[in-house]
Amino acid sequence: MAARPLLWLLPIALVLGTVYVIPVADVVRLSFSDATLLRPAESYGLSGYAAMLEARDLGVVLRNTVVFTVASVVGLQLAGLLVALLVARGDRRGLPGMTALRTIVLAAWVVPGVANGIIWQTLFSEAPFGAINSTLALIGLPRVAWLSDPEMAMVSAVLANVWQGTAFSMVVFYAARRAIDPRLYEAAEVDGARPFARFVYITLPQLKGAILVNTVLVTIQTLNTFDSILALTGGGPGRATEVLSLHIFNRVFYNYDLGGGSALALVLVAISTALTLVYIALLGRGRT
Amino acid sequence: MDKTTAEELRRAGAAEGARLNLEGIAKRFDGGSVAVSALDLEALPGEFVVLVGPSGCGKSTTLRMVAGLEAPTEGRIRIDGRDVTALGAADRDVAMVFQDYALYPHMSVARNMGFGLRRRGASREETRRAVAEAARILELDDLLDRRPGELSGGQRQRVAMGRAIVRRPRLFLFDEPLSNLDARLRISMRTEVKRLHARFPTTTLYVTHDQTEAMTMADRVVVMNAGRVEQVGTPMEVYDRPASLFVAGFVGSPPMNLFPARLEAGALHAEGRRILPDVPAGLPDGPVMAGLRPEALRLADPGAQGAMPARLDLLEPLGAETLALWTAEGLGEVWVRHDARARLAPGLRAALTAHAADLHLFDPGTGTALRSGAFENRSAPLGSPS
Repeated sequence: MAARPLLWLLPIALVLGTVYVIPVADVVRLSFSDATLLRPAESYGLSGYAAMLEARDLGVVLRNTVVFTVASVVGLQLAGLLVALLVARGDRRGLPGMTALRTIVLAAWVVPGVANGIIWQTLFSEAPFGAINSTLALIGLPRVAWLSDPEMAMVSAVLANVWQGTAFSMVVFYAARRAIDPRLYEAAEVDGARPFARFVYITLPQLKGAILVNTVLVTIQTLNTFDSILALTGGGPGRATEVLSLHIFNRVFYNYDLGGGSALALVLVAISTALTLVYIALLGRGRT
Repeated sequence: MDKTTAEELRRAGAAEGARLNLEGIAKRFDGGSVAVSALDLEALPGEFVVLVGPSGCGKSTTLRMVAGLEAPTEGRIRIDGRDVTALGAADRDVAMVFQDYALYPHMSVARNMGFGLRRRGASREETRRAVAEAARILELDDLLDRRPGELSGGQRQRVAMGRAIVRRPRLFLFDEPLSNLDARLRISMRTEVKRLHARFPTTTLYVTHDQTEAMTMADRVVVMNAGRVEQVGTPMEVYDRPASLFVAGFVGSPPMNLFPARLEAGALHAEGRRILPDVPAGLPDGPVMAGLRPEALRLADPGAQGAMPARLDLLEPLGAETLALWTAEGLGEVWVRHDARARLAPGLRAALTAHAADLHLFDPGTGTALRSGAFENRSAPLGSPS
């Protein structure tokens, strides 16, 4: 029977074309236009990009983006790894409640970003009913300006993001941890390796692929996060927590600047793509 | 491996090996299944002891308990008299070769071999020297920088052994190390392990399901079945004086021919025929399970006394000898070992005979041996059947 792959690929090509390629092409078109949310493009040119480079706030936004992303990625990896290893260990020892623990962690993941922002806004609230500050006060510690201090606001945004995204990292690491041949641990134990040595010499190297893959995915996810920050701080105080994706959202939906927003969105796509390529290169090197 | 190597190893303080004692160890799993029950075993310093039995007989569990990877539910494990039952694997001076080798895939061969030494505090330089020496013994010199994934099955096997010997442990554990190799490689690795042990007489506990491997490699064989020791003895003791029906049927290739029979007034009867007249006295009349090794049966004149008419069904020429499956009156289907030059063809009708001296008798109820062939003059087996 002759292979006719094109025929079978057609449906998915149509779906992807409709859902992804056409909108992206349209964003490219809009980025070179003067379109706003209120009227379609009238002229085309590079003015959108020029304005973007001249914008004074772009530096601050990019700096915020870097801080938010790096801190989130590190936090997500550590928290995800920790929970995954705990759950895997609990599984091996047949401890009860491991499924419940996994479910609880996963529950954070299915909370919508906006709801996540609102939940943490309530927790971080500096009003007398703010859960975290009340608890701190209860044990005699000073209150913290979680959302009103520019630097603490960034910490809070990262915390909220890590809380929500840990589940994803955990799933990746949990699957990878379970795929490690248990014989390797037995061999290492017979070789005299203590638990910490087994973690360093067996677990970490064996998870290298998962760590790299997870870094790519989590970085891209974090770069695209704006909904929880929008609900938590709205990008403030001032521009203290305004990251690139939120900046794009603000520019398009508050300033109605569809052309400029599209240009920035393409910058975001370019950053994500570049990062992906870097990590793929790392991944390839990790194999040899 | 040459003589200098052996001398170097001795000079370098190559361990002669530990004395291993298992005292009534048992292992029950959480589900209630019993893997090993009340097992006693002693391995003398330098001895090569093989645990053999069908899968699920508890041999691997026993080995894992000695390694410290599994905790016994009952009993004590002593290495050189010291109770190590409560110690983890990392604290027992043992080295283990796993069935699937369990090499660290992310480390080079050299790092795989040196890992145990480094973890036990050896310096980089000491480790490098020890690894180089072990690599020389196992002819792995050219592979030290490779990853396990780039090696063939046989090479991985040698690396796994290298990882074990490089530490010069007091006790070697092998968990079916050759079962993943093809038949030819298995035979050559068998020789290599044996040679290694001759040069490097470390106490060794070796697990296999392959009775040929057990017979060819062991100083002493421990035949296990259903979590119990059936018999302990030298390969020849186990072969010549199987303590039970199980051992008789397990050891030997082809195994012993077994058939139900009756003792009547000092003669053996089967299917209403008097097969062997002069079974040495001392056993009461009654039903027995009788056994004859394939080499105990011979062709005979059909007219000779006690000759059993038989028909040849199947031939397995092996070159040096020929195995034949006969259906004989009184015996049923039996394997017979013939000279390779014997003129045989399927369908041949002839008669078979045996000496009463070669007869093994077992209690049909309990399976324990009542009488073992013509070997009364040999010393009694070292182990006791349980």
